Amino acid sequence: MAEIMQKLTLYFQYPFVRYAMIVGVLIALCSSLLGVALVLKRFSFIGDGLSHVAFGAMAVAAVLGLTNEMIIVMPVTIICAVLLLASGKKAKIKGDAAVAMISVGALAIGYLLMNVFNTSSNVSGDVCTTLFGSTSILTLTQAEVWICAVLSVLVVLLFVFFYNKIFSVTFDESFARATGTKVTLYNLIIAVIIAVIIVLAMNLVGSLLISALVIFPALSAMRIFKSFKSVTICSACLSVFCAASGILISIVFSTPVGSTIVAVDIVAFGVFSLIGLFRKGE
Amino acid sequence: MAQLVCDDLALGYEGREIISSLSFSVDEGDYLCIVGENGSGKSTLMKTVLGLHSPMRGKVSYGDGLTPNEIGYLPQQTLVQRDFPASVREIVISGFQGRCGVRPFYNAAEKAAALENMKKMGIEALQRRCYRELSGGQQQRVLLARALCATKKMLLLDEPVSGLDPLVTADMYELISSLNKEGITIIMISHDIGAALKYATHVLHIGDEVFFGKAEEFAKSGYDRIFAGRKGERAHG
Amino acid sequence: MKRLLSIVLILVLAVSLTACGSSVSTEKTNGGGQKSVSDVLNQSSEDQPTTGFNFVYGDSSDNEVVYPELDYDAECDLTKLGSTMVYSEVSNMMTTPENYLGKTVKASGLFDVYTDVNTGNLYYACIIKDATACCANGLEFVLDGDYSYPDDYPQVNTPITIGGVFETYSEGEATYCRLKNAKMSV
Repeated sequence: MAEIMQKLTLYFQYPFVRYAMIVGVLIALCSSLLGVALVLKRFSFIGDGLSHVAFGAMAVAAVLGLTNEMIIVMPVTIICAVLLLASGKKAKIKGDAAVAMISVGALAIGYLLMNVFNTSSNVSGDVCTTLFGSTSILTLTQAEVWICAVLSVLVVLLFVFFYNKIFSVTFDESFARATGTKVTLYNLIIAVIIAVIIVLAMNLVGSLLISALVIFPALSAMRIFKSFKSVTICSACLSVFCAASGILISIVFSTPVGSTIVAVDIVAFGVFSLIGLFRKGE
Repeated sequence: MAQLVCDDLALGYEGREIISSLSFSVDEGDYLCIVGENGSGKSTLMKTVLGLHSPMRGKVSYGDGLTPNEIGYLPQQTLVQRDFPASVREIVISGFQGRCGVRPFYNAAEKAAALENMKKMGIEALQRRCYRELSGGQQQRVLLARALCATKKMLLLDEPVSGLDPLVTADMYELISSLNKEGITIIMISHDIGAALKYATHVLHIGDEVFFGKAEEFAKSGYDRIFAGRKGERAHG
Repeated sequence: MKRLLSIVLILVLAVSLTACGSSVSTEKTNGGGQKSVSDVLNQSSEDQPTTGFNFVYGDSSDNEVVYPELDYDAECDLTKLGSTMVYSEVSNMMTTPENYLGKTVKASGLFDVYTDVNTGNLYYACIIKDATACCANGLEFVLDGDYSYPDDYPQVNTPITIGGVFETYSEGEATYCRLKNAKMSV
């Protein structure tokens, strides 16, 4: 134990470790916030779908030789999120099929582009990093750290501001619409927030594991807590705790960051499920 | 001026008309019961009145100080709500959302009014309970309390008693009737002709034969028997 | 639908994994894939076109040079860190070399060597892999003193520890990073 503490003290002298902790915690906080809404809207897989879109966009950015990928990745992901979420009910191709189609399509095209137009020197490394987020959180540039931090804070503020509206729109869309809530607008805002979260979270766990970051804390919290507020607060705390411990474990024991965080999330889900069962049994 | 006037409405989906040239009006304090067979367009009509669905022809107009957003709505339960982690209080107060506009949080007056409505529905003891753990009757009371938060004038109820046992159903009807006596206009979709005739002041029957008029006239006209008989045939067939 | 989706995902995943694996294995077997070489050389300059490097086939079985224990007190001592940390720190060196200029660096990794087929220049590197084993960073070094390849160097893929002063240099339009005045132990 003392040895681990010593190691951690040493590691925390490195600025990139401190950045990773700050950014990781912020990203985890944001990504857990909308989890409840997504799970309940039956859109658990949307995180996956959008992250693959972001991956595809990243490939396009790489092919075009853009230094700041965000310029392409963010708008493309937001547009897809809006298409998937906001037009959900009227679209000819329904929910999960649309998500699946866009998701695998973007993944395939992205990978193809990266291979055919081999502009980056390290294709396998790039692909691996974007898919599993091996160490991307630890290798952020100063600019990326700032972008992540600012966007995360923005997402949290937006969520707090629209908290009650997100609740009504998720719980009962037709009632909200009938009583004069601007449902379309709020669905749009939810879609945009999700897209931003997805692009941010790619840095933390990579695009294949984003869904875990979005839904696990919410699902765990729903095992125990009964009100929307308590579930939201619990999943936010849980997500932050899991991300922080995941990052620490991965740097101390040299495991890949993304998978470690998700593994911690899974353990937390198990623990919460057990507590939930135990309580029901009483 | 009536609170709600529907003039020569034609309703339907994707070019197919379900209801054509339907006209009726609802005055303040009325209790209108809409009956008709499945697929006759009752829910579509209700959505049109709420402004969720636009009519193919004709016009819905609101009057007597009623604006479209002031109609309280008790929808049929959706799948999402079955496992939504929400407390009774959170759901009831969300009825005020439509009035909040850009204001992010509920004010003290709204919180007090929400509590008042929960008391009226006899669910104030449940306010910290989880919605999905309540019985069907309790859940309907929660949604009714929410609808009351959204309106003081008119309530639209979409099959409020479906899935409830007879005792709870009777309770629910009494509750709705007491709200009507307080001056809230009620429009209710129902399968239950008996209840319609017992509580409603007006009946709208849609389907092959359209009837709109006072409940007594509906009973006299014999429509109720035709309607009931047809239902019986179908059940036997 | 979900099942179909997951099957497709697994397939795509499998493809990407094989791609990863093949690249790593070329490094290991020193098989001479262009991709791996450029992986290592162009870490710091992503916009560089591939310049046609090729592996030198290390045949140094008759290597009898004795290497000293590396007694090097470095400002950036990567040998004390876990592999995730090492990989991250090396990546940071590549992306923000200005923060490391003139610092002494010590690192452990696998020895590798490659040559520019156009100029015939030889480059020596210490390869550092990350925890997912699909990304690798190469830390190029120039030994302090007069050494010649293959006689004075270990076999490719031998674990080595290297210490030196971090610097950047330009070749053509690109800027590369390396450790100069380096000392090596096997």
